[in-house]
Amino acid sequence: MSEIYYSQTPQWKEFLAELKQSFRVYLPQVKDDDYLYQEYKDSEQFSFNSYRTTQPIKSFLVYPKEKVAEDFFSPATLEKPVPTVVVGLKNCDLHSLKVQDFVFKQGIEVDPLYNLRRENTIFISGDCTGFKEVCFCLALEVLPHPTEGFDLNLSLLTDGFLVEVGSQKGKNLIEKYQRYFIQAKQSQISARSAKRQSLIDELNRHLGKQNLPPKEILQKIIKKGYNSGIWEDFCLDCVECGACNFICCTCHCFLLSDIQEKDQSPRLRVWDSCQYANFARVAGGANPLKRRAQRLRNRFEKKFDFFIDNLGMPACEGCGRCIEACPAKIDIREVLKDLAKNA
Amino acid sequence: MHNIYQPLPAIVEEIIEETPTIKTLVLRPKQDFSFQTGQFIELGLAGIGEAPFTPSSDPNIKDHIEVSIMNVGRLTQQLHSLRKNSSVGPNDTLYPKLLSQWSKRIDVVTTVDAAEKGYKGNVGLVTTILKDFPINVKQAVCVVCGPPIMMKFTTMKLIDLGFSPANIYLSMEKNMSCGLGKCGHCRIGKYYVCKDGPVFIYEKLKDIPDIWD
Repeated sequence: MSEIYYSQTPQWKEFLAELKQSFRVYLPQVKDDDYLYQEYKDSEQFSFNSYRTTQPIKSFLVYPKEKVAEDFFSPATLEKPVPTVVVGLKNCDLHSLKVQDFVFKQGIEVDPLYNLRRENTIFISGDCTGFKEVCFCLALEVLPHPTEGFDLNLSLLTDGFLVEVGSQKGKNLIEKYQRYFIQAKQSQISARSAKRQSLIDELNRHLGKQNLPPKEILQKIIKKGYNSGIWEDFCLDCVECGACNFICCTCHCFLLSDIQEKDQSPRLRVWDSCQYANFARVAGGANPLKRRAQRLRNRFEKKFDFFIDNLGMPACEGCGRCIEACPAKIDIREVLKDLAKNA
Repeated sequence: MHNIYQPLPAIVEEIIEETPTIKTLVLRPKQDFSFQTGQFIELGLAGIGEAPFTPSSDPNIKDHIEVSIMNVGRLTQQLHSLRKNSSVGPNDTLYPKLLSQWSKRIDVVTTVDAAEKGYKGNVGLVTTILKDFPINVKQAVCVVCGPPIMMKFTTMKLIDLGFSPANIYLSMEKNMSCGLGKCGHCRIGKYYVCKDGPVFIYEKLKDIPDIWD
């Protein structure tokens, strides 16, 4: 049985203000129709974000550009990161962490920076209470409320929040700051279920019109569509900016780059994009992803073929960030629909 | 925690000029270092960068590693300009010393794509010497390496000769950055060349499109 608490809005805000004393806290801030993460310093206000933020959650764990080794010749000890709390993740974000964990924490080697930051970060997620036009999580069988993978999860009630404990880290936090929390009532938990179901119904109505292919045929249509002309059609307006990859919460590719500074030769890691012309080019000039269409296809193969084979799930949670970020308006939903149509 | 991105320093002990475009660097790592047959290393220069190379020396030799490098790009050009020690002059085939040692114990058949007049060995593509090769395919395995186009036609020829795709070992090459299964560059189908290869049996790759590109 899961542990669920209740915190009234003023208490919750006091709790966050107190967290700020021991942690670096990030809160979503409203900007037009979007939520953007900002560090909670003084003036930042907590407002419950109805749907996911603009920034992908990976940016808290792997920075867009950072030193991964201080010097080529003399190893330096890795700095322990500042304990951090990130508030406002949605279920799509939590799902993406499964992909990022698979890449950086598992396999033949563990990425030390990622691992340290992951250990030192507490993720406080929340139920969605609304969605953007581009949201299509349910089509990928990702619910608009978290069920696992969080430390604490918030569900919005009329004058406060249900706070569900999802990990030992979350449990410790509640115990340490127990004055802000009381045991949730059964009626409150029932209210949560009703709210959740009503949002699922609403999102289903939104998606019903779109006719997206079901999750279980995605790998098949990608494989079948390998030689399809769809890739050529959709890549026509691509400007190779890489925004789809950078904004994606599962895309993880990076490039190591050694540079020369005054007395040191540090090694940098920068996010990379498979939409860039040189992504797969080798010394000598051969390039298996020479054409834009091949690179667009690579993005879809990686998400819906490679990760299904290797992790048992697609590397897409239907957050729709790539749809909003693309200046050419290449819509991942439209690509999948066309592939399904022609399969 | 161990930092997987921290390089291990090594000293260049000797440089052997194999051909005008290929040099073998003899490296002595400053820390214990070993590899197994079929593995590759990431070799780099401070401030320049690193790239994957397959050691060309015997994995049982622990105190040094040899890496044969063709001058084809930004890093390899820099590696080629490292201090010169011993120069054995240009040769027609790679590793002449090694090949003559091997020839004492095993049959070694070589061929070159093109040669000047007076060259005594075979001239022609690898596929030409495979044509009437006296071999029992049931008792043989093949190890294929080289540029993708050469590997492609050699593999096709081996299949024609009756080799099972499970007995053909391919040394695949892709753009790689980290070599640790993280950076995402070297994907072939559901594999990463760095951690699932770089040596694959053809059986594993034969149904993946465009593997030779």
